[in-house]
Amino acid sequence: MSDGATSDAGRAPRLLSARAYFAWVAVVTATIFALFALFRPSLANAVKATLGLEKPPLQSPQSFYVVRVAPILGEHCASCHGERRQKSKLRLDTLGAVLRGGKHGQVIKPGNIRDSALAQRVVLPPGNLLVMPPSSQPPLSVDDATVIKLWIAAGASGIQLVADFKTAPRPVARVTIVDVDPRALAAARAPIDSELQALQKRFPGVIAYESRGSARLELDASLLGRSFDDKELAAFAPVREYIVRADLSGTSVGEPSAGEISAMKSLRVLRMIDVRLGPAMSVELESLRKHGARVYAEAADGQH
Amino acid sequence: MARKDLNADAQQHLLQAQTRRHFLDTCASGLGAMFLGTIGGMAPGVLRAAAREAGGESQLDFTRDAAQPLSPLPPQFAPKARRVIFLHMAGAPSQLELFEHKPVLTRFDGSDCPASLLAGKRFAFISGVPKLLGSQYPFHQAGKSGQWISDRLPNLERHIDELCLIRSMHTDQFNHAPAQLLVQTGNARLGYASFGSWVTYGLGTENQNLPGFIVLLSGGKAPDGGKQLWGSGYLPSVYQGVQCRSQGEPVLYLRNPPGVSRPLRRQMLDAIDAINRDSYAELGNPETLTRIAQYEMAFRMQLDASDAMDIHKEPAAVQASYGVTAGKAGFANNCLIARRLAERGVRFIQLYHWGWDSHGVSGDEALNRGFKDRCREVDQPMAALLADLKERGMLDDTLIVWGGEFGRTPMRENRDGQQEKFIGRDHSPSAYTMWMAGGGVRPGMSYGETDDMGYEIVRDPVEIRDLHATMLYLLGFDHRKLNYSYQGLRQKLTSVKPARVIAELLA
Repeated sequence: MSDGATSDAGRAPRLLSARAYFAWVAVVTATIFALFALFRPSLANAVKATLGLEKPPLQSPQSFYVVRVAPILGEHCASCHGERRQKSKLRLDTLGAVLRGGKHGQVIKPGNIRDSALAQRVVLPPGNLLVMPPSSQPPLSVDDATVIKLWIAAGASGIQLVADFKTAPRPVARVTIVDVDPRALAAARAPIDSELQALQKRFPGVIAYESRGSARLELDASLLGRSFDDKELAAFAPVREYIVRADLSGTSVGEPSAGEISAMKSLRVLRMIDVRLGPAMSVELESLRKHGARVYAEAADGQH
Repeated sequence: MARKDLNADAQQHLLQAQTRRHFLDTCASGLGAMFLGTIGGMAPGVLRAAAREAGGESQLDFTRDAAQPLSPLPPQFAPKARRVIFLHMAGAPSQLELFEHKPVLTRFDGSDCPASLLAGKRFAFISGVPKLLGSQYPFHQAGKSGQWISDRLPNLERHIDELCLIRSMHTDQFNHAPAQLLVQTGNARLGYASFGSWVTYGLGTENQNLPGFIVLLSGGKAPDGGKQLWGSGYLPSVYQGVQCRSQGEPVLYLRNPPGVSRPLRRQMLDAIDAINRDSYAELGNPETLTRIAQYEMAFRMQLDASDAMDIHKEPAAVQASYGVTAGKAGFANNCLIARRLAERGVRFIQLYHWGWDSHGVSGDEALNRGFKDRCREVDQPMAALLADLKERGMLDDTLIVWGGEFGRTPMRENRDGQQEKFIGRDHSPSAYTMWMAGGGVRPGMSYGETDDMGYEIVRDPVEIRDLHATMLYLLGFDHRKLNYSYQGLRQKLTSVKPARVIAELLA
């Protein structure tokens, strides 16, 4: 072979050195890739994201996106375009992913509703082949679609605040029914279960879990009337930190119980209609109110 | 009752419980299991998976100690509403005279109804070409929420910012009895469980000395749907509503007759209980347990019911705010009783006020006469009930629902093609207005919209089952999970068509 190589030396000189050749090939390949990526933005974005070159968009917890837009996408889109499944390689569960788009490119052109597939496809009539969510799923409400449009039109940002969207439709409560994980529930209830059972035996119908899926407690002594007093309320001390709602209306609970109530750290609703309200209790009720609890109190008028 | 009858009764129940649905159900999974068995190898795991599929999603357990069928159970998830007061305006009040402001209709008042409004419609009484009828009363916007309301409900109007008006209720029934059944049981036919009995089935009763579901009537006539409106249908009869009288003794024959003391009554009940228990041991009919529970409840009620119903124990100012008439049955008295019952842990309180069927055939059933009286009868007590509950910190967890069974036509009724002597409207199931307040409902809003005639819904229709699903959601239940197996089907209040919880109505 070395003979052959020396014999070549007599021929015309090569156009390119080996190094230059490879450099050229690299440049051409890169250009082709670049052109390809230009027409397939999803590829470029995916590459950027994998390489960690993309910086995550700024996002504030009080932003219109977090408070209003993300819940809609979470409820209507994330089951197909989320963590578990990414149909069309599209995810709509983080702001970065929403802006990045999917296999068919970006779904949002900030500031431009007409070219934003996300805004267009959610308002197609039911039965249309392109409507999102697909016709088998509940459609977005008129208000939800409006929220998405307003957000895109204003630039699809993660930092514009709720207050910046004065014309947005009033927010709607989300209907969420969570399946209870029985093991997690049992674990959450474990610390108080035996005490609770003893209390339920001693005071039937007075204390119970708030719901089948909750470890929080509700205390209602209003049906026992005056026979329920400070001493009896003190019996609930072992479970008091789990009590979220207490109704002591019509009972003879009074001043000595102020401390007991203040120790109910999770209390959100307290009803004390027709109860003797001394200074210590009044202070306690005021402090509860200040911490956002709903307190309904009205002093006994001495008639009873 | 003879033993033979009881036996036949129990057998009939068994027959009704097992139907073609069982055959189809077990047939499919049984054959499937055999098939999987034959292809061998993977049997156990696959079978378990198949069984899970057939068993469907997890179900809630409503079993209780048979002797205490009303013992309380927690809701599925944390509730917004703990009790319901349902103000049913029997006879169907006109939405066009109360909440639906339709100036275009008023402009065409007296002109012939265009054929397009009549095409494909069936009416209870209208025939030929009726005249359009504008609202008989002036409308204005009220409160901060600026919702439209007529001048007929000045007291309720003060609470307009608490109300959540649904202007787009839709029903498919245009006769009173089936339409009322649909509103209260989710089905227009007889034999279905009423809302209140679902609630007592799901949650039991807080106060073991009072029924969990109480019904009060006023307006001089019982609703057309009859006792089925508070019946338990296929649910055990212990969950049915108890109708109480608002005048005199709340429950007839509840008091011991002269000469019978409470201990003597106790002895008698013990003897009856023993016989009933024998009978249950022999025949196993669950209705026997219901009977035992009812006797015991009646014994305890002897003490509590009279006190709960005694509105004269209320301060004079409270009585005056409701407009109570001493010693007379009426809607005002019933509203005050409703509040006393709510305070005592009754979960579902149903008030019927008859007299809204304003066809215009008589003065009492006319928009320009009797309708005015009906408005006067309900306006002050409803407003007082809202104010009173609010003052006692109970409005936040008491769901108030107001409405009739359907709406009324934008045309003036012309029974047999003749103009009626008085002004009235015919039944119209296509659209009507109901309102809710309190209990986790979004205050001060209107939902849905009808056309310029107030005749058809143009935005956000609400079916009765949607309303039911929403109410159950507020009470802490997924309407699909509150179910009862009967005739091979998981029966539920919202029946088999898909229902939706209307998120827009939630606070």
